Amino acid sequence: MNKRFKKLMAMTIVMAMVIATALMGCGKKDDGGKSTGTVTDGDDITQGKTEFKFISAMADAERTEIIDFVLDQLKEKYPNVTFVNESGEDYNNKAKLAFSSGSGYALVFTDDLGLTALREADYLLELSEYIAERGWEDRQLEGATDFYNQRTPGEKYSVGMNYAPVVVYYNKEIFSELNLSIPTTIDEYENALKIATENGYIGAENCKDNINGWYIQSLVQNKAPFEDVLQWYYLENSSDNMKTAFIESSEIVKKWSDAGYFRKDYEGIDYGDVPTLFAQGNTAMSLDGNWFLYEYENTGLDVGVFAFPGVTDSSEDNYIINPVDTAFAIGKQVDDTQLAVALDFIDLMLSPETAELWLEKGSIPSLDYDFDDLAASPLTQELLAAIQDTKSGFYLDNVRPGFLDVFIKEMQLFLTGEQSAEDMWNRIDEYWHG
Amino acid sequence: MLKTKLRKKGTGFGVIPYVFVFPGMLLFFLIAVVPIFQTIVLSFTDWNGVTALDKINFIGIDNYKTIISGQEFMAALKNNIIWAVVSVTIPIAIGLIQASVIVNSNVKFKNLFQLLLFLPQILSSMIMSIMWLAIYDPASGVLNAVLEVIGLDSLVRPWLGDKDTAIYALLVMSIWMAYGFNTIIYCTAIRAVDQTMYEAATLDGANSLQAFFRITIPSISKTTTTLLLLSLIGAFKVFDVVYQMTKGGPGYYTYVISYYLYQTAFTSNKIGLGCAIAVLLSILVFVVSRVFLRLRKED
Repeated sequence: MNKRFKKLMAMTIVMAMVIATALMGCGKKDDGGKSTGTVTDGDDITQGKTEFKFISAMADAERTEIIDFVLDQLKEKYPNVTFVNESGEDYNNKAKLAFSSGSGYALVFTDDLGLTALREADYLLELSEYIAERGWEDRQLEGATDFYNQRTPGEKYSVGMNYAPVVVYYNKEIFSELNLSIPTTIDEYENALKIATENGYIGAENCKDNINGWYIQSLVQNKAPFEDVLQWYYLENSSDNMKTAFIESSEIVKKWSDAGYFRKDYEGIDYGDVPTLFAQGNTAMSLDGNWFLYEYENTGLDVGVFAFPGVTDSSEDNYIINPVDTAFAIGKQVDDTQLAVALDFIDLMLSPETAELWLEKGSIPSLDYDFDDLAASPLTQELLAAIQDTKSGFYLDNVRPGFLDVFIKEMQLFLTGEQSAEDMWNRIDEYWHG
Repeated sequence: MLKTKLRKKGTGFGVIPYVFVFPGMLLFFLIAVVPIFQTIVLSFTDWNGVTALDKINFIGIDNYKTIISGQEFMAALKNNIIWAVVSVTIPIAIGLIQASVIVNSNVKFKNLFQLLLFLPQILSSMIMSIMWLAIYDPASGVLNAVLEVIGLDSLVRPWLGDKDTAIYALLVMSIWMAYGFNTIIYCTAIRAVDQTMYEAATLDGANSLQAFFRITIPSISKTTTTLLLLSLIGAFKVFDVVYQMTKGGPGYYTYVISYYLYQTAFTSNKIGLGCAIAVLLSILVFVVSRVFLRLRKED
């Protein structure tokens, strides 16, 4: 009897496992939203609610606060909509997986590479009509909307929102002590590095990956005719001017590195540690993004900011890395309700109130509003003033998926003397050609 | 003469065992076998991981040609071979010596030592990477600080940023993670060795070193070859340590095949090419394992 009972129990467990496996494979059909375990009927979850699923790179506390500010207003207007925010790390891969598996997102807010991949796969809604209807382009600074839509003349698939400048943070006390003024040319910048180093300071912070790349990209966009830069960035043409600009710019950075202007052994330092190392107070300058403005502002040092002078003559246009970094796009699969919500979402994100919040949190909106009365931090105001007279260039490493990794590796081989600048260019040019 | 009636037991077909095995096999089939076939099929396509599956193109063996002719694969293979040689031999040697000391000596708190040695196995690779990044940090890391204090300033360097030391710095971490596990396994194996052999050897005048080489090592040879095989497979699959600590750099000096696969498939949007790398890696591991097992059999 005992044996029979055991067999029966075992059979029951086995059947339970089989049923559970079968049920897991037959879950709710996902249609623009993640499974909530509730029963659905087409787009509508029970209780008549529509799911609005979106994704972005905005997962840090400050920017989540901004999203929540917008969501609160949308929830009031759309009580029958459930909002699902899947923002966070690896947002591009999540978006790719979601769209290629058929579910997608109603709204994505991501970078040029991510949006280009989705657009080329025909997952995004063409937005020209809505941009015109809602006046979004008029709210933007000149060129901001065009930035992301240059590859599709006559069509617009995304709406940008904020710039992401790479600037130079500097220690005002060191500058004052060494009688240094803000460099306005590349020679003056090199001189500042030299003087700081000769006086026992570190000329500039650096790390194993990003920063040297930004130096090179900033210099390239001032050395090559900008038309060539545009053609290179949009994969139209790789000219000899770009080759020369890359080689010359790389050699300048190598000269600085070999001269010891950067922190000793910076090749082993993680990018995330740079503001902390700067905060030690022994470094004159640090080339870094606006996203770390809060960290530099709170180092306890008297920190200022200026635009990286990539020019040889201060009267020339100075191009800095300052693209419209992320933009909104709407999934093609949205229904009418989801479309209405998406359009209002973007509308609210581009509003003066939200733009002010962005600015207060250290981001730089690409919107043409008057922010003079805004209580932004002193360093933010200094940054805005610093980049006011500059021209916006690109993150050249966004030219192709995977280019950044290749660029960093080839640049590392060049800077350590393993290969020439020409070899480096040949490798990255090969990758550019796909 | 006794006639013994032999009664044959019934050997009817039993369904019950298969019923119990079925759910596990179904799960294995769905999450392992099906994706393997999908990977092989996709390796002959140009799928970028973004377009719908019904829009992908078959491109024959172009992906395989790209891999074989590219410098990335050769650089990665070289690094994996270095990884295999170092991470297979040293942790096993250390584990064997430690286990021998723990089991055969009169050291106290043996269980505590075994527990402490096993701790790296419990911690996640992410935590250990953070720990070792802090150790190797050139600006504020413990290693450089200690070297400076003891007067070895000439050895101070960016351990993970120097092409000569980066892969070995990762291997030190890998060895530290692995030898504890090997020690535990060897402790068990050594305890299972027949003690009478040691007694006989002692009577014959053998010292402890002779006993170790002539009795212990041959007696646990099967354990050793199993650990060698597992380490070898692990060496070709290594990814998490490289991803978390160096991203394959500086240059390509810590670039390994798994990282090449990840970069290709998920960063460069070349899933088809990534699948081809996965297939090649699998073939490589399979061939190496088969050669190893054949050598073990011959022994």
